[in-house]
Amino acid sequence: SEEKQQRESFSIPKSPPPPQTLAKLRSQQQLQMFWAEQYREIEATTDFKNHNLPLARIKKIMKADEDVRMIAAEAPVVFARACEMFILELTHRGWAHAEENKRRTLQKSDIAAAIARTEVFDFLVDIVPRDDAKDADAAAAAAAAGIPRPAAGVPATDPLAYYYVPQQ
Amino acid sequence: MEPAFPNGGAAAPPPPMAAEQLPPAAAVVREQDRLMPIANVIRIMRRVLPPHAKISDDAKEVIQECVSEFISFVTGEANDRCHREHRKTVTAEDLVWAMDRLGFDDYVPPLTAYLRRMREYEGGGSGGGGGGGRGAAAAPAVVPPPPPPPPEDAFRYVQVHHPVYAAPGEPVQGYGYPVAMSSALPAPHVHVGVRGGGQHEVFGGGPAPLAVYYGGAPYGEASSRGGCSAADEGSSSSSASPAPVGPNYE
Repeated sequence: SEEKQQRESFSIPKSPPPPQTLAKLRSQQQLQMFWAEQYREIEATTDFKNHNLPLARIKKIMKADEDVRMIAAEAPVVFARACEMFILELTHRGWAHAEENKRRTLQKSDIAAAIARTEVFDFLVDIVPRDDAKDADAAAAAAAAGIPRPAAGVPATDPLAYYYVPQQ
Repeated sequence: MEPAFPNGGAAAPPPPMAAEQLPPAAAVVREQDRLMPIANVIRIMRRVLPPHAKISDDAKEVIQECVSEFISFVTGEANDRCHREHRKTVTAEDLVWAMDRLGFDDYVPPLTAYLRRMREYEGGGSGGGGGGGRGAAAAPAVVPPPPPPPPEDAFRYVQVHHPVYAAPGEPVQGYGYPVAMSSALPAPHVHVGVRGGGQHEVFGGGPAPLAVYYGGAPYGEASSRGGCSAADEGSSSSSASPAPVGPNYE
């Protein structure tokens, strides 16, 4: 019976998970590492006087809201660190999208895709229109599926405008 | 038949619109002041990108815009909390709480740790006023400074009774031999002299109330009189309220 079970288990080949799932798992793992690294950095911080973002500018942006009356001295300091992490996270997610499209240049469409994919970034949809994000995701899906795309500088209506991206 | 309007039926032209009053120049936030400096933003972005990566100009601008929006978004939520709790000052705890509320869960542990470390580094500086932020570490209690020495006539109307006293099991100093006091012996108390209608007030049941005035120690070390010097007692008894003078029959 054991041999039979072994034969059955060997006879059914396991299909590898789709590349999109693998990419998602990899990006989740990278994000976990990213946050762990952020925590480690903070635990090692000794300089609380110099900041990577200007506190006066942060305070100015906070004060742009007319309802805000007074701001504690610690608030811009904490915000400087929070904004730093926000920039890093958004860039990290955008770069993951650029890599999916096998590009080495971070573009606006990558940031748009990162915003569209992440629920907590919904408040940024006014800054980056939904269309940009949709186009970016559609292009990524098309590239993953091997669907041809129009050549640069040629209108998409031209029937001869498509070429196949060679698989790397 | 005459027209209803003198100008041939045409309605009178509307009055000229008042010019919109522009806010003073100081109140207008300039475009460049509304965004984080681009150089700082790029420097932070490069930390998470590989060396060969390039960043397009529009990506830089988008990130700049996003950071400003993030600040406004979180500040708005923190400020709403302040309004609900009838506070005027937005604290660091309010910001951390707002981030947690808005779904930025990953930001809370690092920022809480950062706030804690910053306060430790600055020697337990002033904490947030009533923020009560989620997970925010409370600032360590500040030890109050010792009270100033009392003025010379502080004990003018105070009569201090000093029984021979020591803690249980300790020898009483001032005798040639150690005398162990029982723990049942009551602690000395202070009688305040007659004042305001002849009522006596009794303060304290132990050495604590006046300990600060004896240099921190409840009772003097080499005195069986309970730490109050003879000069003190003399002054307190001699300078007590004078006896009322009766009618002169002479």
